[in-house]
Amino acid sequence: MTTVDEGRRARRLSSSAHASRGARWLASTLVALVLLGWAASVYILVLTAGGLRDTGSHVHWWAHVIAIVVIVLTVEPLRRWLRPSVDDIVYGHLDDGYTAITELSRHMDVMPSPEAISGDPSLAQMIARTLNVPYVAITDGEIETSVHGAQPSDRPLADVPLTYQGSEVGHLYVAARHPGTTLSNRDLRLLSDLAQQIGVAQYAIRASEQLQASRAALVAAREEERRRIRRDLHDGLGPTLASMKLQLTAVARLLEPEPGRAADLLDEVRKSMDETTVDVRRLVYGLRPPLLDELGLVAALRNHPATQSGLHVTIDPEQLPELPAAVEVALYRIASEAIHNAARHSGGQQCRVCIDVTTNEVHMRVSDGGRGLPEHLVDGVGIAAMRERAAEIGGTVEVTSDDGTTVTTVVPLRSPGSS
Amino acid sequence: MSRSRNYVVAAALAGLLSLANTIVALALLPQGAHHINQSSNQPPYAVILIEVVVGLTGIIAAYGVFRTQRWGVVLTLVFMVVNVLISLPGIPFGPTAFDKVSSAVALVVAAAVIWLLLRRDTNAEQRVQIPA
Repeated sequence: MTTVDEGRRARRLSSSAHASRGARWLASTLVALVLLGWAASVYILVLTAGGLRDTGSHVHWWAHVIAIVVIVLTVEPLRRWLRPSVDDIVYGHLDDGYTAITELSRHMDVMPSPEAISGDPSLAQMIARTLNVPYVAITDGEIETSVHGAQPSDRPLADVPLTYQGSEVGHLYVAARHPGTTLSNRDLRLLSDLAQQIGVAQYAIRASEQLQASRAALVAAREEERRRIRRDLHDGLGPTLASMKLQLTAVARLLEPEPGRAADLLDEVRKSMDETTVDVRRLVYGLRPPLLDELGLVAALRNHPATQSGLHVTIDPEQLPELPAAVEVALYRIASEAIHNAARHSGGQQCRVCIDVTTNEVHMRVSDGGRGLPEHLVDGVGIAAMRERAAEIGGTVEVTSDDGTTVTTVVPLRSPGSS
Repeated sequence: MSRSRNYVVAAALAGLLSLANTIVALALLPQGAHHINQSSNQPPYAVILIEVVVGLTGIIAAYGVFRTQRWGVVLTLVFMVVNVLISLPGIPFGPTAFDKVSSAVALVVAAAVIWLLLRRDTNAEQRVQIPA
């Protein structure tokens, strides 16, 4: 499949190169024709002024000299003026940009994946060849994703923003064809049309990279969680259970000869079992707060440990409809962190949690009547964790300080990918 | 693609010039090759035939310019240069004053069409970045 795609791509590049040679020949011919017309006009008009009337008339010698001098002096400036104009006609896709856009779409179609555009100069090369410009660069922020040619210092670069759904995803920089000139408005309109197509591809690259990073982070978090549970089970539950097994074996042996010693050992086993139960509870709690299952979100927040330190927490409303498990856990963790921060840092005695469930979203506001945030606050681990919790399910967290601190959370009721 | 005023004016001038050339050449054709070649104040018969072909094709090319088609612009440029070359001898060698003036007018119109087609459509305020 890859070989077939590469073959198609090579054929397209080859046919495009032929078309480019043809266009160059056409542009040169047109320039030569106009220069010929100019030279002939100057010569005949000057000779007419110098006495040329009919085939037998005498023409002054200076008329020939003037005509030749004028032609020699004007041909090069005229050629320099003509070349950009003729190039605009030949390469500027006068009819419409359809051909260039189709070429671009086909080019991207044969690319194996959106990521292949990144770092591949052939896309910039295709645009450069289509418009006959010496330098094209496609950038994603500061990073150049596709570049053709060396950036010339004798002419400005046209800067065409690459956008997707109104947001900027990169830039397309194109150098003018000739020193000291700029691209025509027609060229810029075509580049703008091409930029729309490239913007979609650029967005796909960025989304793909972000997805990959997100997937890697998820895998890393899962592995970290597994390691922690394994360590807890290995270092805590495993030895405890092995020890209890040995103690029970010893109890069985001592039951007849030493009933008193057996009773002591059984007591030790009971204590170990109590500790193990606490460990298991801690593990289970780490996976999902049990209060959520036992009491629900409102009651779980109302019984937050911070309330025992004197903070009065009010929850509005009293009852909530059933929420998806992930949403419920995220809201509980974010609110817990906000209440914990209110108890530790706000200096206030009141904390109010308002939860509003709409058809598609849940809005939660946790506000305290404390002293608010310092003027130059750098997000700490707690705030970053709240943002991460919300972002995991496609939500946002905003922390504002105005008459106390307010943490506003908005999370969707359905994850972005679900139908 | 938007049609510029330059192209509309160029298309109109090129169309009128081509139409005038065609009508004049067609009016001379019935005199026949022998009569025209014998006459001292007529261009050669071959030139008249070329003028008919160039004139008719020029009208089509002018329509191409009006439709902002690349082939139209390229063809019109070529025909206008040909028109210039055909009109030039008429200025010094035209047998009558009318011939000289009409040749000069054709030359000016053809030159104006070439200038209008080649005038660059650029905007000095386009968003550009000066390379470092």
